[in-house]
Formats: sequence, structure tokens, C-alpha cells
Amino acid sequence: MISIKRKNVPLRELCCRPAMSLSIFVALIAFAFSATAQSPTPTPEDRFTIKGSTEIGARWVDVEGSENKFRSDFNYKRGFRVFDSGLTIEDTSKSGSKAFDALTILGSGWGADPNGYFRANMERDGYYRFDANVRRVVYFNNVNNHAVGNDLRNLHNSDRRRNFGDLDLTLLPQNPNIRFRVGYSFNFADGTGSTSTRISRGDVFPAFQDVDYTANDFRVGADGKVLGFNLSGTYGYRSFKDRTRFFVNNDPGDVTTNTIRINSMERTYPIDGETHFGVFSLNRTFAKVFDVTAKITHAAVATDFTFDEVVNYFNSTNVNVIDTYNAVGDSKRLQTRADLGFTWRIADKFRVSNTFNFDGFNINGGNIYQFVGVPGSTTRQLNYTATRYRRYTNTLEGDYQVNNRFGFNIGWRYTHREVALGISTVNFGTSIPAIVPEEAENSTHSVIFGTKFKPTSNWTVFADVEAGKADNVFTRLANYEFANFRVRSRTHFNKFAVNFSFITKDNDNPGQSVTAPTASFVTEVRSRIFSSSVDWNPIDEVSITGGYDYHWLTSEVSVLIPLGGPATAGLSQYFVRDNYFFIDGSFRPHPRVGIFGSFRWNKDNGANVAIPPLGSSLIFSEYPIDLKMPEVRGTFRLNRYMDWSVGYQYFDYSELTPQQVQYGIAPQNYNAHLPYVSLRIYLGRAAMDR
Amino acid sequence: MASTTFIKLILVIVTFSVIVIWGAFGTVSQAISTSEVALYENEAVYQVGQDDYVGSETCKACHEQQFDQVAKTIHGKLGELTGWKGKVVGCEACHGPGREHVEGGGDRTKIKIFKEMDTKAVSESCLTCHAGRENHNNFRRGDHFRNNVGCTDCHSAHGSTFGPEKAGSITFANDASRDRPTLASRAMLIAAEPQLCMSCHTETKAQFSKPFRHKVLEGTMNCSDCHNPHGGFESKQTRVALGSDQSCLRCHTQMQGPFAFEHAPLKTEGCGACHTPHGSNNPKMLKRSSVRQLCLECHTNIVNVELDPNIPTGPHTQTSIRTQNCTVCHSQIHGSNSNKDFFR
Repeated sequence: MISIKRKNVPLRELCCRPAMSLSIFVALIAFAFSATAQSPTPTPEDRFTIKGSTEIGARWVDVEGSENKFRSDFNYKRGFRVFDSGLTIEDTSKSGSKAFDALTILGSGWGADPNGYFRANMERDGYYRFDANVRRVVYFNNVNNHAVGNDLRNLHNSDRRRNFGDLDLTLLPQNPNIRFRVGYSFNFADGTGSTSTRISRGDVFPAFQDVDYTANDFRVGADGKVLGFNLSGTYGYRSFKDRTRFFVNNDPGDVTTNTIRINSMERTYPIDGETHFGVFSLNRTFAKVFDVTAKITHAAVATDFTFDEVVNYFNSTNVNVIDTYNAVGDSKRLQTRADLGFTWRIADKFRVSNTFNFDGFNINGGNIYQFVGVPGSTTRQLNYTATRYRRYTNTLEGDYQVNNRFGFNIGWRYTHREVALGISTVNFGTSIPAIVPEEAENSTHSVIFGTKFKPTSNWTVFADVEAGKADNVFTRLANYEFANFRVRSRTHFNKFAVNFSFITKDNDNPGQSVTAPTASFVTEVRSRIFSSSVDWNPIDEVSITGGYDYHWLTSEVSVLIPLGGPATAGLSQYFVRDNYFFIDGSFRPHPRVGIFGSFRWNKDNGANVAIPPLGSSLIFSEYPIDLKMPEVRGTFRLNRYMDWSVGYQYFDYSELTPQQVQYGIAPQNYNAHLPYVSLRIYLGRAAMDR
Repeated sequence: MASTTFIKLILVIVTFSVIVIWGAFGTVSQAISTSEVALYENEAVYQVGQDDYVGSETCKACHEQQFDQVAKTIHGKLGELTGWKGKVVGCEACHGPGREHVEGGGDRTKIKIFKEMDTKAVSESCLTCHAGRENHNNFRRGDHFRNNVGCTDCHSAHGSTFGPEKAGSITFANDASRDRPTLASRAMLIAAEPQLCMSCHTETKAQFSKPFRHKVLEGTMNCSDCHNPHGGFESKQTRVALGSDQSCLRCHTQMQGPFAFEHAPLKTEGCGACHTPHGSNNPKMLKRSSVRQLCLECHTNIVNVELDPNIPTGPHTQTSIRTQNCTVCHSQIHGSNSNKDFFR
């Protein structure tokens, strides 16, 4: 079990710590209470209108079964936490010197929960608007069926904490002529984890990580109107660095029957990078009939890095060897995007639009690489790579609104893509030859058709289809020949709202194998998604929401599989047969009592296809699971200011994957009991109005 | 060749644009309703009491509830702000001049009633003021507008109204209520995220309920963190990070690179080539349960021209569990600065 190593907390992280956030909340609650206490019944003379509530409590967690899988899925822990909380303070005075018109603060998940957020919005109409969105995610991942070595050890796992946030200030936000923007974002991650490393093809080893990477973003911009044009410009900068350390101590590797083992490995891999980008856009509507928007973006990203690794190990002949790897280099990416769109409202009911997009980048990178193995064995190389990408897209479409109940649109999209990849590796001291890039390009077309019609005033149906070719110059996973259809129905009557949707996606990528060019070599992916939901609110005291989704997906891709000899023609199959059902109900049987019940059930039955034996040319995967998540909660009003809640949440998870069957890996089933108790404290008008 | 193609495309589009602009300023404009006189959106030409505008206080006489509701919103306060003095604000900014409606004793045919208008016409009214912001300036060419989802499908111009508080989940984000503040009211939304988006995109609720997922239902992330509901120039209305990067790199900064040795699809196809961004039963939100499938389905057909153009590169013998998990050896699969095969 990997544990978190707590470091000395830099000042920059204090704002994200639960204690700091809780302190801010307590201070605001105290302020709200004092403002409320001075005047139990708000009067028109009260300056501040306060409304909000905070819910604090504790959750107990008891997991039976695979705790690693539970933590990988949910990661709830025992302890105190701040639940769903929010506060709005409005300054209703007409004073010209007030600090804000409205301040809204939201928060949840701080304390023992793995995901917490703190959001704030403060604004004074006509002067400024400040938005903050600060989040913390504790990411734990340790499963037994991903990145597994020959000894069935899971080699890739994580137990890290990421704190990230966005702070944005807009000056003169409602001014139609000029507005200014400044923003800052941060992204810090630390913790532990493991990846994998190898000495030769004989063995792989877990490489443990002390994770440490940071990114700081700054941006400034202005929006305004000049000569009727709406202009917007932004300059942004990101500074990022990675100081993750990798290490191995005394590990036999995933093959324990040979003599290869690592005594120690130490790798430092510092990366420093910068991004500079500029965005400029303009927009104008002429005579309210012709709207044009143009945008251009240029970004330059550069990284510098060094790589130092020392491995002390015993090789296949039981000789103690020390290998060192060193590299130093840099990489640059220059990217430009240009977009131009216009819409011409030819008549009240008829529009034509065209959108042109260009995206192009060049990535050039390289390093000086040295490997020192057994004494006298030194390799020094110069490596240089180049990636070039260009994409041009044009979408022409028209839409016609026949009447208020029926309209349709039709369009055509053209895309041209070019990719060039090149790599050059030479021994140190020799001249670098010109890179001969591997190039690919294609042009694709697709058509779009959509409609919206209202059979009745309270029933709306949307439908759209897109078919053709798109994307995918040289990969076979994404779209190529595709046909996507989607229909949605929304209706409401009495106190019901009923929604249905049905989505189909068909992708094909006929291709050829270089070794068997005449053989059919296909990619077929078929996806069908049915979704439904019903909302019923017969009275304020009763609310029921439920729905059912079914996702069917079958993917069949021709592949070549070596099975101890030359590659064999085979087939890669992947199936999804996922059912999702949910029902949430809220009841208030008594003015002082609220009851909530919820049941969510995610069940993938698998395709019920026989699992092929090991060594087969048929690769088959699916991920059958059965995840049930019931929750019940009772809320009892103690007085105007407080509600007491008690609840219970349960997770019941089971799985059985083909890989687990083939290799005898235990499924990661678990049951988790999460009772909780909490107190919700209402503040200001939220209390007065209860 | 490519630059020539690009230049040709630009010339065609510019020519077409010139023709269209000429036509827009010409006789075609006569097809537009005669009530839309201003040359530019929101031109400051009308004063209260002049021409056909009567002022919002007049509307209050019959529509007091709506007036009181709007007065609390920024729509109702615009007239007090610098830069909006003298411009048409309040009720008539959206519903049109009210004099004939008032003089006709509330004649419904003399005022804009949005419930009776089609979605695009409603949106055009909002875009009169809101089109210029960078977040909105491509709304007319976005997926929502194209599919007749307009401004009032998500926003309430009169201000948000929510129902009473009700008991809800301790784990998943609850509906907005009048007793608990949310940011939905600041943006005048009719419901909070993610419930608002999921009222149409119902299939996403199942996706975000899978074991490996972005924490949208828990409230930690919002749909609008990755998608721009007002459109934009990207497919699926996704946002861009740092001006030109896919939105994933806003948070997953360690994948940004650039690396000395790039795994090219990451940059050309995007993260969605291998990952399912909403949620998946598969670890790491991968598109396949078995890592080797993800790799083989591309690398079966890819050759290394330096070695031998007739032999596909790629997989080792698939008879051991280690070689079936490609990233056990090729661990730096998002890009490496030290090794072209992503071993380190």
C-alpha cells in the first residue's frame, strides 16, 4: 500500500488546504451570524442581504473486499468534512463606495473527501467581476488488471494530490466599449506512485515516483468596440516544471526465475517549460443580417530537460553492472490557429453560414544522449525529431425555419490534413543527415443534416445526422468513414418532464496491411446509446427523477499478432453492453422532515461470448461490472437555523474481466458502507424564510 | 502544394465573403423586418419617451411580477451603469418598443412575445447585445444554434427562479434551490450544472457514473470546464487551453510537452484517440479494456521506414501478460525526452 508523504507545504499551497478553506468559511459564517444577529428580522434598512447555508459532518467508511479498487473508484475516507455549502451576501445600499454588490461563495468536499472545490464570485456592477474556482483532487489508482507484469504485479499506480485553481478579474464587465481581464491559474501535483522501467527485454521493474510538477498561468486581455467591431485580445503565459523523481530499491523484476534484479535505480528528469500565446478575435454584425467572427491564435511552447539515471543491477549472467543514462536537450512547438466564420441571415427564416478553420504546428526536438554500460561500452547519440501538422476545415451550412414548429439545417464539411513525422539518430561526432519524413495526407468530406420540430407546443424533437469521412490520417481508432445519427425528444405535461434520446455511431476504416495488401483489413465500430429520463414533481413536497440508459458497442478490428513467430492475422474485439438505471426521490412528509432516497445501478453484462484461450489470434476484451449505489437520508429540522441529517450510502461492486479469467487474477469486488451524519446551518434570509 | 491549396481556399472564401457583404448591404436587407432600424447592434439612438419606447416603469403597471424579478438582475440594472446611459435597456431592449402595445391596451401583436417565436429568432434578440463577447461571438455557428437550441433553453432573461430546498444526496451535486445559493443565478441559468446540461444530454449521466470518470456528478468539475456551451470553433464545442491546446491540457499539464520524442497521435488526434473523456469502466478511462488492443489497432499497419517499409513495427509476441500490457515497457507513452521507444 502506497502512503502519502507529506512535505513542508509551500506558501502557494496554503490556499488549497482544507484548514485554510475551513477558516475562511468559519470567518464568513461568523460575519453572517453577526450581521444576522444584529437584526433577527431583516428590515428594508439592513444593508446586507445574506442567504446561505453550510453543512458540516462526518462520514464513516467501512470497506469489505478490494480496498484498492474502492479507492480507485471513489476514495472516500472516514472523517470530518464540509459538505455542500454556499453563501450569498448582497450589499443593497446605494453607497458609491461599497466593495461589492454581491458575493457568492460555494464549497464542498473539503476534509475527508477526495474531491473538493471552492468557488467564489464577487462583483460590483459596472466596476469589476472576480471569479475564483479552486479545486483539490486526491487521485488514487491501484488496480490489478492494468500494466501488469509477468508476476501479475500492478506496476502503474498513483496516490497523488492535485491542487488547481483559476482566478479571473474583469474590470468594467458590463461596459459596452472597453473591458479588461487579468487572470491567474495554478496547478500543483505531489504525492507518490509508480511507473515501470526495464533493463532489457528480460525483466520489468516498478519504478516508484515522488511526484512533483507545477504550472502557473498568467493572462491579460482586453475587449472593446472600435468602429463597430467587437475586438478581443489576450496574452497568456504558462511556466511549468516537472521535478518527479523515480527510484527502485532491491527488486527482482517480474521474472523471478532469472538472475536479473535491481539493487538500486535513481532517475532524475527535470523538465522546465514555458508557453507564450496570443489570441486576437474580432466580431461584427452588419445591418443585423451579416455576422462575421475571425480569430487568430499563435502559441510558442518550449521545454528544456535533462535526464540522469543510474542503475545498479545484476544481469542475466549474475554479474553486477552499473548502467548510466544521460540526456540533455530541448523541444519547441510553434502553433497557429486561424478561424473565420460568418452567418448571413438572407431572410428572417433562412441563414447561410460558413466556417473556415486552420490549425498548424511544428514540433522540433532533440537530445544528446549517452549510455554507459559495461566498462568500455559507451553510446553517444544525437537525436532529432520533427513533427509537422496542418489541418484545413471548411463547413458550409444553411438553415431554414419553416415555421415556429419546424426548422431544418443542411451542411457540408471539407477537411484536408497533412502530417509529417521525421526522426534522425546519429552517433555523436558525425554529421546529422537531412531528415526524410514519413508523410501522410488526406482530404475528407462529410454532410450534416438536422431538424427540430414541435409536434405539440409542449413536445420538441431534435434530430441530426452527420456522415462522411473525417479525421484520422494514420490512426485507426478514431473516425474515418462514419455515420452518426442522433434524435432527442423532450416533452412536459402536467408535472412530468420526459426525455428520450437515441444515438447511433458507425465507424469504418477499411485499410490494408503492408504484408498482405490484398487481404481485407477492417475496422468496424458500432455504437448505440439509448437514454431516457422522467422527472415528476406533483407537489413541492414530492420530487421523483428516474431514468434508464443502455449502451451497446461492438468493435472489430483486424490486427497482426505475433504468437512466437511471424505475425498472424487476427481480430481485436471489444464489447460494451452497459445498462444504467437510476431513481432519486425527495419527500417532505412533514414540514420538519425531509427524506431522500436514491438508487443507481450500473451493470455491464458483457457480450456473453466465449473467452478465447491464451495464445489465440483473437483478442477479446470487455469489462463486465455490476455497481449498485443506493443512498438514503433523513433530514430533520431542529429549528429555523439548523437541520440535522443522518444518512447511509452503500457501494456494491463486482467485476469479472476476460483477462482475470485467463490469468486467474482475482476480481476486485468490494462492498462499502458509508454512514454519515451532518448539521446544516442556515444563515441570513435562508433561515428567515424557512 | 499545401501552401498553394491554402492560398486558393483563402481566395475563394474572401471572394465569397465580398459578394455576400455586398449583397447584405444591398437590396437583400429590405427583406428584414422594418422594426430593426439600427445599423449596428445596440446603437445608442433611442431615449426613453422618444419614438416608440415608453420605459420599463410603464411596463411595470401591468407586469409587476416580471418587473420586480428583472430589477434584481443585471438586465434590470444596466440603465444605472456608465456606458449604458441613453441606450435602450430594460424590458424594451428585448421585447421591442412598447408604445403601440400600451396604446393598444396590451395588444399582443404589437410586442415581441418570446414564447411564440422560434428558437433562432429568440437567440437573435439576445445576440443583439451579447454577440460581441469572445465567449459568444461564434454562437451562430455552434452546435447548439445549428440544432435549434437557443439562449432561453438554458438562460432566463428575467432571472433565475428555483424551487424550494429538498433533501438530496450527500455525494452528488444537487439541484439548485431558492434556499441555497449557486452560481447558476449569477449567470441567470434556469438550472445549475450539471443538471441543466443533462436535461438534454441525458446519456452523459450514465457516462459520469462509471468507475473511472471525471468528477462532474460530484460537482468538482462542470461541463463548461471542457465545453463552451455558446459554441466556438472547435468540434463538440470543446474549449481550448493556452490558446491552442486541447482543453485536457488545462489541468493535465504534465502531458503538454513538447517532448523530444512525441507520440504523434496525442498531438494530431488529441487525447480522445485513446481516452473516453466522460467516463469508462476501463482503467485510465481508456477506450479499450486491454491496453494492447489500443496499441495494436493502430500499430498493426504502421511501418518504420528506416528499418523496413515492408514489415510492420509493433508488437512483441503476445504470449505473455507482460507483452500484452504494452505500457509496462513503453511507460512514457505520452512522450519521452530520452528514448524514442518511450521506455524512459
